[in-house]
Amino acid sequence: MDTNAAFEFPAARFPASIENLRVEVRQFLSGERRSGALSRPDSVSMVVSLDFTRKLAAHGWIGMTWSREYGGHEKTALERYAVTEELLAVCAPVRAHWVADRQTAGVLLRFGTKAQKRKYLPKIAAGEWFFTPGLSEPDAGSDLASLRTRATRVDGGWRLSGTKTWNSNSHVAQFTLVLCRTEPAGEDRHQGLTRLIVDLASPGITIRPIINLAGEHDFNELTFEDVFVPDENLVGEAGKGWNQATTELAYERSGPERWMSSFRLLAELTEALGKNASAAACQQLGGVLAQLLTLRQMSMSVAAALEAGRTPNLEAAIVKDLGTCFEQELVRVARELINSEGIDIWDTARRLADVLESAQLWSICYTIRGGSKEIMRGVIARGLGLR
Amino acid sequence: MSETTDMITDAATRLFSEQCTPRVLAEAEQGVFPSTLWSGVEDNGIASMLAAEAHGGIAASPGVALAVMRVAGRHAVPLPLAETMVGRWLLSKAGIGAATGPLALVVLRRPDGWKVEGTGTARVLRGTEPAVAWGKASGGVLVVVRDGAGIGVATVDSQRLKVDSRTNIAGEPRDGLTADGVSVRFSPVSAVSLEAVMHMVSLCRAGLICGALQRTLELSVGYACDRVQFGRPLAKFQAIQQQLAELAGAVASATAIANATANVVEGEHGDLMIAAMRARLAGAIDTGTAVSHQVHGAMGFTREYALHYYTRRLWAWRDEYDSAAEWRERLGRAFAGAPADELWSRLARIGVASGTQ
Repeated sequence: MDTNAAFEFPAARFPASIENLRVEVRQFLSGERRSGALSRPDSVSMVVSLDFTRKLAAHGWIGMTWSREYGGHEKTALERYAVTEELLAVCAPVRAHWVADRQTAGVLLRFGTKAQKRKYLPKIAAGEWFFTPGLSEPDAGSDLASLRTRATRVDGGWRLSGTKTWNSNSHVAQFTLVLCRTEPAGEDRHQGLTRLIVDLASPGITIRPIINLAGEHDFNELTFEDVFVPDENLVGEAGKGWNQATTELAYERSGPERWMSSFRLLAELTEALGKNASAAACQQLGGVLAQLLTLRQMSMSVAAALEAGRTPNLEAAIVKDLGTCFEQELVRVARELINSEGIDIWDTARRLADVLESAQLWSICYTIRGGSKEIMRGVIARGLGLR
Repeated sequence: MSETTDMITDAATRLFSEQCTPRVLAEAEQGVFPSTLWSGVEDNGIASMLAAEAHGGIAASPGVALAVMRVAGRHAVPLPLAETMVGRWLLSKAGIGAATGPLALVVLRRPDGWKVEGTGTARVLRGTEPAVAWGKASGGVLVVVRDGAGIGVATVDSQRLKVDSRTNIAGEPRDGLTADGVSVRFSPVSAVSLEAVMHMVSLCRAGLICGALQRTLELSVGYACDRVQFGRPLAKFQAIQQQLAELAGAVASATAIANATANVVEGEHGDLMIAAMRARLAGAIDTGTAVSHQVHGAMGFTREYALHYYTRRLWAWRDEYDSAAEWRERLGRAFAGAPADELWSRLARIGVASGTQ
């Protein structure tokens, strides 16, 4: 076997100016904390705050890498990466724009028409328009290509019918970028799939909330009954949507959220351990920190690859697999340390107890959402030439 | 810089793939020092690569050293490469011309090991070090000791020491060395701390570890593709694919943290990156050795098949030059008690190398 460059993760070098950007973001965030607009998190849940999203947009921290023509700010992928880390470190309420900024816009920039870019991207960058994913279905999860939502050609557009599930944020978003079948599945099931932008205000759409394990409303089920989608909403070529979906998933999988989603648990735990933590506790804490620092280097390497114009699908799968498993281990280590060090989590603030509870519940989905651990390992195995 | 890396790694690849034959590896475990291989290491400038040009080296960066050591690890080179490279780097820093021959390296940091007594240049070495890598075979043992605010080095000929020949789990020499008041010449080394020596040797060993891990992955993938059971190659079974993917992830994580650490090892937070690297390498070794043996089945549990040259070395190297637990504790101690809202900014400044690629 030749050494596959994708397994190499060369060290990324970030321009020194990025430190200034980090400071700027931190100052903004601590200002929000002081004003009471943000509070010290008692959960690892990424929630919606339209107010916060608009403030980020005003700072130019949404759509950072896009061209100015489309409302972007022409920053590098490394600058975007740094801002993303800073927001995740405080569990900022970025849910509203996260999907649109992270993945939908990437697809539109690469495959969309000029008119689509002009219409949607400036509104996304302004923190006004949001997207809900539109990929999974009740009978098509890991086996996404078996999806059954279909669109048929009609005069001036398409008629869309089917059900999409596990859609974050549909109750806040105005649009979804659906993957649907427009031609019967032939020899290659990946052919005949098409991406359509669907306005959620269109007649024939039902949105049903699905309350998740953490007791929160994030997911929704979207049902399309003969929904008209105009021609102008076709993204890329009809029947060639699969490649777009995998590109989108690379964006979804590659970011620091794959190892920073539970960062607040680590932060509260570190504080609670105190300076006099036992040697055994420091060893466990060090083990967790070492994994986090390693994942961060891998993630930065992926960001550098994106900046160099590559789509690092395989690297993203590796980071997602390792990162999400790490986050589940973090919950286990935190619980053990709380018990072995005799930390009182039922103190008056109860913050550590709340964050731990939330991390326990949410961490279950980390190895499932955005492509399950098993799917990630299948992608990696393909990279090794095994399939 | 990248040209230098390519030249020396190409030379190392040629040398090691030609000469690290199964026979040389097997003989080395029987105590035969591979002198022809060593000559090749000298001739290709590998042993002195970290030393200054004035001392026969090329003042290679830590990144270049890491790249060359990865090649060595991939071929299970049975030599004290990390020790000699770091030893000559230190001697060069001390302004002493390059020594010839392989070096053993003893960094004195335990109360029960060797003591360097006296002051000035003439000192006396006393005590026992229990497990010195290549202590006898190296000829020269370089002792590194804290001295006032700085450090100093002294080289002692192993023939002047009482040797208790031992080996580690990989069959590499780890000799007990006893000095009964051996007089040594002491040289101060400026601008290098005892910790910096540990960091540099840890980084060189990290290269060996990453190379050996890479080889366990290559062997495992190769074996899974060749071995047929139930009518198809093992590689076609999802259960095997999932395990090999986990192995590949472990190897990638080790490589990533080593690559990043090489860039910052001499910087402000180099100690914390080294600690993180050592901790992660140990985790990757746990996963890498377990999975590669599981995939190989009974074949991997023999001395006939080469996997053991890599996995036994990996098991040995996890806890040499301080144990993984000690490195984890250092890293954890540095952050225990950090206020929740400060943890991120304190972590984020570690391991970030600025500048262009």
